Amino acid sequence: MGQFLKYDPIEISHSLGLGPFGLEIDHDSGVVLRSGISVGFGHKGVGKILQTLPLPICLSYVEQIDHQAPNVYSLGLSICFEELMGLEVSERAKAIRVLVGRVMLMRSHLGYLYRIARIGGQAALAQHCLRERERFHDLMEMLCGSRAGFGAICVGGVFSDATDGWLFKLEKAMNSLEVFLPEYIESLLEQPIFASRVRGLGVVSADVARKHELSGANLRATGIDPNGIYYGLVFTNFINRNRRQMITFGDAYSRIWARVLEIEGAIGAARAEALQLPAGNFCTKVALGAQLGVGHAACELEGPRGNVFISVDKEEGSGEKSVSFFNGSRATLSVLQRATVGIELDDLPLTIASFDPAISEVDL
Amino acid sequence: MSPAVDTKELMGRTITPFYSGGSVDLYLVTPEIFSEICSYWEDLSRDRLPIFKNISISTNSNGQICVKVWVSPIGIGHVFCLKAEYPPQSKLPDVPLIWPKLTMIEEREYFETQAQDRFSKGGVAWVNS
Repeated sequence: MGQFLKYDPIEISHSLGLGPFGLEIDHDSGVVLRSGISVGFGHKGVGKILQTLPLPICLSYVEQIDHQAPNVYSLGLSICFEELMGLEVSERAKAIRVLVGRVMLMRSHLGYLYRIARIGGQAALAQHCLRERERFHDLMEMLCGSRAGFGAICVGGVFSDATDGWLFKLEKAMNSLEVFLPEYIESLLEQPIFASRVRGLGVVSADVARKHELSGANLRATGIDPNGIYYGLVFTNFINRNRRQMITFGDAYSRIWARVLEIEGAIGAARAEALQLPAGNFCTKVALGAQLGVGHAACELEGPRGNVFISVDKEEGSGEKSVSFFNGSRATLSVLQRATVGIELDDLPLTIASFDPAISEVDL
Repeated sequence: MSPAVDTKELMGRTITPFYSGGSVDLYLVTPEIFSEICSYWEDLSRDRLPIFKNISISTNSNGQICVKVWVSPIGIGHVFCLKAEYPPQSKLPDVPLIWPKLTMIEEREYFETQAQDRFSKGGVAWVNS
């Protein structure tokens, strides 16, 4: 006999910490028949707000869209602004921006691993994830003053230079993470009970993933290996070839593995890039009252939750700029509704968390 | 520098960009041409469809409804923005490209397959209704 459950946004965000979204479930004896996700509860209308704001302040607003990866939004918007202003950014600033991207990816994925461990019942392991994440918070605090990384990217470059001390702390944090990851794999991913629970859970086929324009780690978990986009660098084509078979099934197990492998890859790439930081200025200062030239610019970057597309338009004779986003989580939510069909209610939190959506402003 | 892309291949007709910049080419079209391009996309196979990037619907200072669709013919780097302005209160086109490109039939088939895969081993007969 079918039954109907309705979770209000507060309850879901309290238990999963993903942002406010509503969940409506038809289930039959604990098996999900249909699920519906409603979003827009925290809608701020960022696109409208940005129309008249000064450029540097716009970056502060877009960073709120995904508090776990604010650099992706601020960098995308900065690149569009810089194109319309005709502003050339130094090679050093670009390299530091990429390093910040790697740090934030590791930090965001550690938050993801924390949630998975907590929902999977491994409370002690979850705490260890937070301990590792704190090292990356320290790094961001050192770079920009904000532990969450707000303000690290600014129009024209980055907030402060990557000093030798910062790079040393980065190396230490990554060394520690390298030791921790095998522990996580052994304690959770290779733990037979947990592995059997997440295998085959919330399956998304490669075909469905392509249809819904899924991107990032969720797409990679279906066996498709897109080239990550980040300043012309191949951002994520670094996943260990020998372990690729772990992430071809499109289920929750593959999605968790995809994040672990992305962290491993990010460590290797960041280590190489830190050794080759070019010399030069880290920022070209832009005045608060700087104006954009007339034109259209767009930028797509890969973040921890998939690709983010940002476009900025400034029309002739108009004092306002028009900013528009397409967030990777928007595609994820569409797939999520299908992937939850047929699973047991007890597995629902784990399935949702395995997709790692960021709900804020997906209804833009 | 714009890539050399044949807009006839991309949109079913040759259009001159209204604006051509470093990352975006903007095509300003009439609602009729916009609908024509949408129909062209509807007939394309998945492999030939331009990659959908974003859509925005807003009103301009004259009260007209401004629809913009961003697509990419090559995936990375350069995007094409197709823009059309509609009179207030007019019916907007049903853009088939717009994500997610699915029909109800596909949805149902997917649910049924997923459910059967999941429960066939456990001997539970269950079909989504």
